[in-house]
Amino acid sequence: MGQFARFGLGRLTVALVTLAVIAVAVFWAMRMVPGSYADVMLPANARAEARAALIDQYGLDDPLPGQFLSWAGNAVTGDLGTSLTSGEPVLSELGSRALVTVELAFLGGLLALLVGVPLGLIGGISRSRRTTGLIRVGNSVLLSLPDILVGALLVWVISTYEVPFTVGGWEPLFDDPVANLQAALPAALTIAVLGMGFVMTTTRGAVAQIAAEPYVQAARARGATRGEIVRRHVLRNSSVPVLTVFAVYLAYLLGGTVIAEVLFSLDGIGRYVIDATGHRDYPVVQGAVLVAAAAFVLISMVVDLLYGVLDPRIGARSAS
Amino acid sequence: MLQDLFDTPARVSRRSVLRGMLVGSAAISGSGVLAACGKREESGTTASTVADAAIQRGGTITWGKQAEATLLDPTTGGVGSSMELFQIVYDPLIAVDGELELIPGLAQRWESTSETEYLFTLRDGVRFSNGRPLTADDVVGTFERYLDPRMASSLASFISTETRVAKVDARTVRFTLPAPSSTFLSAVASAFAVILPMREVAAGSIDLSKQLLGTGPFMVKSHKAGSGWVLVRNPHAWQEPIADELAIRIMPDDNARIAALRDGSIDLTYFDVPDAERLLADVPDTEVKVQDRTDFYALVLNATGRSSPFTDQRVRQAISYAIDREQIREIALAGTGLPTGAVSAAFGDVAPAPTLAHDPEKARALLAEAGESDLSFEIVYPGEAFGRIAQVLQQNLSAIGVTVELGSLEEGVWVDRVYTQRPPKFDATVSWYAAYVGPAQALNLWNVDISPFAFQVRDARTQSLIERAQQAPESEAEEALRAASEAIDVQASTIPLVTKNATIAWRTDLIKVEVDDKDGNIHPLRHSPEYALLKAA
Repeated sequence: MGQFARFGLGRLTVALVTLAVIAVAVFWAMRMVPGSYADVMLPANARAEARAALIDQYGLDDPLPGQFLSWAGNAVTGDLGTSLTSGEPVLSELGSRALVTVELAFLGGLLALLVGVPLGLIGGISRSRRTTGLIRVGNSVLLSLPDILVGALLVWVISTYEVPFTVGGWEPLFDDPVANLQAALPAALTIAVLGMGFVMTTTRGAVAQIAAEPYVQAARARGATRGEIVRRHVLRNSSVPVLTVFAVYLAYLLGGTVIAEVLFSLDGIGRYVIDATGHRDYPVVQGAVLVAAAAFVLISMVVDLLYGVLDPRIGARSAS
Repeated sequence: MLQDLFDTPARVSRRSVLRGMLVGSAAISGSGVLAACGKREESGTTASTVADAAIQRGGTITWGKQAEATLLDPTTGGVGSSMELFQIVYDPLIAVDGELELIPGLAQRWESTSETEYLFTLRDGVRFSNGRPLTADDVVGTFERYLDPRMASSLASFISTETRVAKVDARTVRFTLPAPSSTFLSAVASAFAVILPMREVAAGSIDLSKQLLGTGPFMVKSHKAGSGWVLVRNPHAWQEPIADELAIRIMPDDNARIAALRDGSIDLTYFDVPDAERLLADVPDTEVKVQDRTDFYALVLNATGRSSPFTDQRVRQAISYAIDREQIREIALAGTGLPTGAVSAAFGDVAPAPTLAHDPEKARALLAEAGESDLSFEIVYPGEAFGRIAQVLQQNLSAIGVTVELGSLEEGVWVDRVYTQRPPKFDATVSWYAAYVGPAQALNLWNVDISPFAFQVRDARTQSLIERAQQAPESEAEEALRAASEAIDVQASTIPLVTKNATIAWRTDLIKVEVDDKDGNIHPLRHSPEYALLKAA
């Protein structure tokens, strides 16, 4: 077995163990939360018989190890169970909401890159104390603004002033791109603010470090323009730390869109899981967490592989 | 003696219903009002709506609904978010108007032949949305299902499971009660007493926990759990809607609904938060109506723990005397709601005022008598409005030297600690209860045999007074209600505070709607068949 295959197998093993631990943890945590499905769903003065019938209907009083093994066994085959509230397969319920979450995460990530990289670049290479000072302050503000505050502020603006954005009213991107962006952009901006801060910080630090490298000094001495230095040396060499942060941020966004989805009434996975948690819809929460964890693990693995593409030295080290 | 109490589509009052319990009382309805509440087209309200040149037929009305209907079978679905939907897709035998008066629903008329027997005559020509005619068998089957003890239905809290339901002929059904009941007719008007398609249920062609098939103005076209519903005109509806579609968007966040109302992506919505009217003040082209509801907030004291100070009735009464309901109304509920006792104040004159009215001096004296010089406890609550009430209670109790800590709980945790665990794990909580459309219905909350909350105090005298109030003939009804209400107040374990209103808002430039002044069935869209889009200016 080659070095690279061993490396891949090692990562895969870690990924599977991670998923197994998460599966146990989420199953256990959901069952430990006070208030069962029957408690939450039925009226407070529901008769004990009605409560018992509902518990019996879904086998919620079966021994927990048996419930877990049954669920985990099915999950391995791709069957995440059936939602207690809707009676629909969890996988299809998640699938029908995934487009909203993925688009939000993509847009949020894009906004973070579009704002964070240029500003971080300017902050890293500028010699003007005023510019770098302003960028540092802006960076701190972005990092310290909670997404719930940004979202609430945007909802307030939309509900108070005539602006070309909507709260809710999501249309699929290819059905009505304008309506889609009117609903998606404020939500994406909500989740992007933190990402802008992260990307900006990382880019600024990486660029400043690379700008001090001897080969950059040599390029300057050769008379290369600032544009050439940025294109040929700075951008490529600073991309690895930026990509690392961005990947973690993107993976976080797959679960982190929840605030935006709730505030803007968007029908994504995050809001669905929040509702499911409130309803104690165990299969939905378990399935969603497992899928999000799998996506996180997958993105991490893809990023590891991308390191090698962006910086051949890393690929060589991994393979040796 | 057969006596018509409720002739064809007559509008009758709650008092008349109570009077109807008496054999030999005067007939109430007059022929002059027979046509008032028949098919929608015949009613005055609808006629004026249709005649309005500004409205258009067809189109889609969009409702921003704050919570998903999670239980779809009316048998056990006695929760508000589901009841809202049931009453659009299904119909009960008896409906309720905007003054909480009983009016014909699927029953064209009903009459009492004795204190314990009622005959219902079904409206002619009613069909389910699949085209099948409604029959007396559907009504009999529906109530047999609801009153089957194994089903543990919501309705069985209000109508004895020993009630017998029998088909008399194709359009007539007889109910025989084991004992007189002043809550029977109002219970028949409940959202969880709607008539189900029992032939399809019996044949196994419909699963009521997943599908809705009724006689109401709209029927379900599609549903995405947690996201929304698309209801379309029921082509066989006896109350034919003006709009083609009613789209429901589930939008739990209040601010999101306000923003959606502003940008026109929803046409109407409603709010539980008391200050909604203020929040909506700046939204243009929007009308806001605060609807009086019979529901009420209550302070629940857990009197069951051995070490609980609330095992001493004097302490509970002291807490009750310390409460300033007017202050709760003004500060916590933005001036909405009515201070109430055990019979919801929304029922008007028939509701007695709270017996232990605000009197801090008496409160202090009772605490001193009970030897409680340093009382402190925690009030837990499940949401913002409850928290505001708890804060006012904290101030009220501070004025008599009682220290209160407040604790906000996630709703499921709160339900578990208050209603599920035995013994319950809380000192006190702010909760709310539905009082429906009959003044004696909510008394069930204090009937420990029907609502076996573990925190309740069992008191034989109160129990017997509640039962008497729920069986009393009309001549004794008001006095029986007063006596039961007073006994409940004096027990002071679940202390009613203020009625819980709803704020309904709609875009006046987009749709024409009618909203009732009062509601007891959590039915904000009672007039949905009459909702119409306005023609573009």
